[in-house]
This record gives sequence, structure tokens and C-alpha cells, in this order.
Amino acid sequence: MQGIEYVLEAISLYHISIALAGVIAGTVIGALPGLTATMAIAVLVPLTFSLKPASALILMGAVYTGAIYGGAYSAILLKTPGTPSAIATTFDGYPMAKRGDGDLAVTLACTSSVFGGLVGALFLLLLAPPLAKIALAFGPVEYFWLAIFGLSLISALSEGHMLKGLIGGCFGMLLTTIGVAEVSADIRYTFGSHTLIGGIEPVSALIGLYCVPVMIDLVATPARHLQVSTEGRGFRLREALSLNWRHKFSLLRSSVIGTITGILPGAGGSIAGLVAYSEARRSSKRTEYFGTGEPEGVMASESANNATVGGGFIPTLVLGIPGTPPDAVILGALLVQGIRTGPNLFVGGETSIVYVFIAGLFVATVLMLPTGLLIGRYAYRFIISVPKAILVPTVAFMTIIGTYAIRNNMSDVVIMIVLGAIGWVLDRYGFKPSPIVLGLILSRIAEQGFVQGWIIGTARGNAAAEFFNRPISLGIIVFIGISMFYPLIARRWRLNKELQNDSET
Amino acid sequence: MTAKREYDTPGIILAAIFILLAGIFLNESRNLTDSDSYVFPVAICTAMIVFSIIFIVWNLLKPHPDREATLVPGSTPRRVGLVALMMISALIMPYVGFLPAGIGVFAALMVLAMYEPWTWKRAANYALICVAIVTGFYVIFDIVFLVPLPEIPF
Repeated sequence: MQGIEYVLEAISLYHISIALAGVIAGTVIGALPGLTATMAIAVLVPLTFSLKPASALILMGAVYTGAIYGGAYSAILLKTPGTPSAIATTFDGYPMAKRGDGDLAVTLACTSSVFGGLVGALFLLLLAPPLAKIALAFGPVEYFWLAIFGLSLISALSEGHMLKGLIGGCFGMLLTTIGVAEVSADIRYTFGSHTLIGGIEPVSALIGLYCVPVMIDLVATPARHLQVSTEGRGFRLREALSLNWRHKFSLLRSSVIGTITGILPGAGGSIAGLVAYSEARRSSKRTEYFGTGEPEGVMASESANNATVGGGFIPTLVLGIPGTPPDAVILGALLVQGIRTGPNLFVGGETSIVYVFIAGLFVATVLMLPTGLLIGRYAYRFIISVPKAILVPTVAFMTIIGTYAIRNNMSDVVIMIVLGAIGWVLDRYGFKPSPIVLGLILSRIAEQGFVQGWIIGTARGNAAAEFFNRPISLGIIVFIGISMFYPLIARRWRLNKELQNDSET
Repeated sequence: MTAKREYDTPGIILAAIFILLAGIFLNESRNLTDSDSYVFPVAICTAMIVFSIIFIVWNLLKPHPDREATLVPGSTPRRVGLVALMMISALIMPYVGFLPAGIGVFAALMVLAMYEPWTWKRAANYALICVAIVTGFYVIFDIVFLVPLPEIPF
């Protein structure tokens, strides 16, 4: 049978060991706030030089997939996304942990990540060349609208406080304009401060906005950090799988969204998670429970961000354009190995490398289930059992050292702490951190797309037409409208239905 | 008898601060010569001012306090102490090195977050844990991941 030799090579003891080591290393690194999947792969790149190309790809793919999943632990247990991809996981994961369902949330994140990872790998196997062409149809204007689509989640995250959410989103976007301008590279809005010249690093800002307020409240009272169940409940795997089955369509949709977002160069896991979360919330029958510990929210975010792994490899391998930042590092490592990525990789003499790697990615994703469940269980037990006098300084140090490690810059740490304190005050008065973080994460893509689209449009004599006349843009704009106004329409529709029922009874 | 009009006063004050902030950024934009540099921030500032004004006007015309916006109970000195200690660690680390600053601030944070009585045994255990965790972080980041942490300058 054609292709079986690739599968046999991928499931050799050697490759399984490599994949297992990669998944474990990636999961642990991804769980530490500040250490991203990109960094995890970059650190391990020198190790791959002594390996065969297919083995090197399997190791990097396994580290990547593990790191994306690992970000969920701190998102769920500490409200601090270990990697930016896990931002949307905090929305429902942390409330679940607060009410005593942290073990279920961690298991659910694992099963959903495995599902999303498998869907992404399947797309990579079956549809790589045609899907890569879709990515090329996206211009700067489409990226701008895609970022705005992500921002439209603000309406979902701030029901009842829409204006506060919009102001927060603007504040987040304004913060990212500090430092070097995205397109022209001008130094702007530093107000003479050397600390601000490097700008506000989005990951350190989100560590500050999410984690510092949690610590501020944690240290203020002797109460436990998370609710703890007295009975041993194991992994709660059956419960998690049952939830996965109940929300199978949402899981599949989120995985497909993740794959497609991964294909778009530069979009990445954070946008995938946010867009999938927004869609899951919009189409759910339990919309009003999202943000309060709804398991479907964790599933949507985690399946989507892991699906970006397979999706991101599509343009990387087919076109030589990295789909996500970690793919850029992997691309560099492949060039060192003498592998030239491109369409010929799928038809030329190096076909075996690609297909052994894809089979290896399946193996690594499947291995993530047992390893993720085990690591997740110990992470959960550790967090709930460790005394507050040790937990608070440990988390504080994780945030400080993690923030410093991003750019080896102590100014980022100072900014992170200041933003954390500001975020705590804003949160107390209804300006939630999530819209601010959305603005921070999506602003760079939005600005780049907006300015480039504006330049092209002005050169053609009609900037507005550039933004509103392209078919893909119009499609995304329709989705933005649905995403923005659906919560309001749904609420009104629900109220009308309740009134109708009341009058009938 | 008319019901007392309750405003979301902190929200209104914060919205006014956001308007001021956007105004400062707009003023700073005048120093930028390349339109590529200011077209996006100006659009964002304008949107922020518009949303903030709508928020303030809407609240003044139709008062509705934010019921969720209340201070959670707890010790304010401990809250301030946590932020201050984290800031101190960030400021002194480049001058005294990661390990001494880390161990000192970690120990101070332990004291700040402790709600149980100290005993000699507990203090000794926690001191060991403090040194082990800070050293562990140092090994992971400086030696394994080659992150150049601030070294002891002497």
C-alpha cells in the first residue's frame, strides 16, 4: 500500500521517542508564562542539526504542538496564558478552576487540543497545495478586516458594558502604537522616555494585565486560590470526552477555523483561538454562560490554537512562507538542513521527508493525550496544594523572569507591573482586561493592514474602495457585523420569546 | 418621592481620563511628519474619544451604576506591598544581580503572603524553598535557555 512506509518510519521507536521528548519539553516550556512556542523551538534548533531532516521536523513539530497546549495550564490555573495562543482559554478556563472544575478544564483542554491538532494535521496531509493558494489571496486589507473580526469579540466579552469594552479595546490598541511605528519605523509617543522606545511588548503586557491583578487579589485575603473538591475525581476524562462529543460540531468548526487561520501568514494561534471562541459563543445555546466557566469556550480556544500547528505548516512547506512565528524558526532550521521548501517538496525526491513528518505530527499529537493528562494532573494538584506564601512569590517571579526573557529587557518588566496595577484598577470599575488585551494583540496586524491598504487605495485614487470593494473583505465584514450585533439581537429575540411565553401562560 | 439618581461615577472619571489620554496622543501626533505613522493612532484616538463621550453622556442622561464595580474585601497594604516589591525587584536587579535581588524579594513576598503564624521550623523550610526556587529559575533561564539574567556586578 502506497504511503505505508512513511507511517512505519514515523512510528519507529526512534521517532516515537523523539516525538514524546518533544511533546513533554514543549508542554513544560509552554506552561511557563513568557516562554512562547517560538522560543521553545528556537532553543531546540541546534539539537536538530545532528538529526535527519524528517526526525528534526518531527522533533520541532512535537515541541510546537506541546508548547501550544502547555499554554493552557497557566491560563486555566493562574489566569495567565502561558503562550499568547491561550488568551481565549482564560475566559472560561479560569472561572472553571475558580469554582473547583480546574481538573476538568485541564483535561478538556488536552482532549480538545488533541482533536484540533489531528484536524490540522489531516488538512496538512490532504489539502496542503490548494489551501496554500487561498492564503495568497489575502492582501493587507483582508488582514486588517481579519484583525477587526478578532476585535469584534469585544462585544461578546463585554455584554452589558459594550462601551467600556470598546474604550478598553481602543486603549489596548493605543498602547501598541508607542515605540517604533509599524510601517514607517518612526519613533512615536515615547514622550522622551527611554523605557518606552522599545514599545510595549504584547506578551509582557498581557502577562501584566491578566496575572498581576490575580496576584494582587490573591495576596489580600487568606482565602484559597482555587476551590478544591474533597473527593478524588481522577482525570475526569470520561466527562471531558462526553462534553467533546456533545459539542462535536463546535469542536470541528473551531478546529477548521484554527487550521485556516494557521494558513494565513502572521495570523497565528492567538487570533485562531479568539475567532473560534467568538464563533462558538455566537452559535451556542448557552451564550450567556460564556465567560463564567463554560466548557465549550475552553474547547473552542484549545482546539483552534492546536489546529494552527498543522495549518501553519501548509504555507511553510508548500510556499516557503511561514504561517505562524514558530514556523519561521522551523523554516530557518530546514534551510540549515539543506531542505528547500516549496511545491516541489511534495512531488520531488524529498517527498518522503514531508510525509514521514506529517505522520510524525499525528503521532506527536496522539502522544499529547497521555502526557498532557499526566502533566496537567500534577500541575493542577501542585497549584491547589501549594501554600499561598509560596504560590504568590513563585508566580510573581514567573511573571518577572518570563517578561524579562522575551527581550532580555528590564523595562518590559517595569511596564508589565505598571500595566498590571492599572489593569487591576480598571477591572474594579468595569473595564475588563480582555478587550484591552484583544486590542494589544490585534493592533499590529490591524495597523499594518490599514496603513498598507490606505497607501494602495490612495495611490489608486479611492482608499474607501480598497477597503470595501474586495470580495474576501466583504465576506469578513459580513461576519464582523454578525459577530458584533448577534449578542444584542439574540438577547432581544430571547426577551421577546420570554414575553410571548408569559403572555401565552 | 423621586428615586436617588445613581451615576457610575468611577466609570465617568475613567472615561474622562481616557479622553485626556487620547488628547495627549493626538497632540503628540502633530510632531509626526510621515502620515503612515499617525493615520492609525489618530483613528484610534478619535474612536476612543467618541466612545468615551458617548459613555459619559449616556450615563449622565440615563444613570445606571455599575453594580459589579465594587472593591473586593482584603488588605490594601498587602496589595500595595506586592506591587511595590515586584517593582523594587525589577529596579534593583540590574544593579545587584538576579540571585541576590531575587532571593531578597522572594523572601519579602513570602512574608507578605503569609497568613499563618511563623515558627522556626516553618521559617527554615520556607527559607530553603525560597533559595531553591530562585536558584531553579536561574538555572532554567540562564543556563538552559541562555537568557542573560543580570549578574552579580562584583
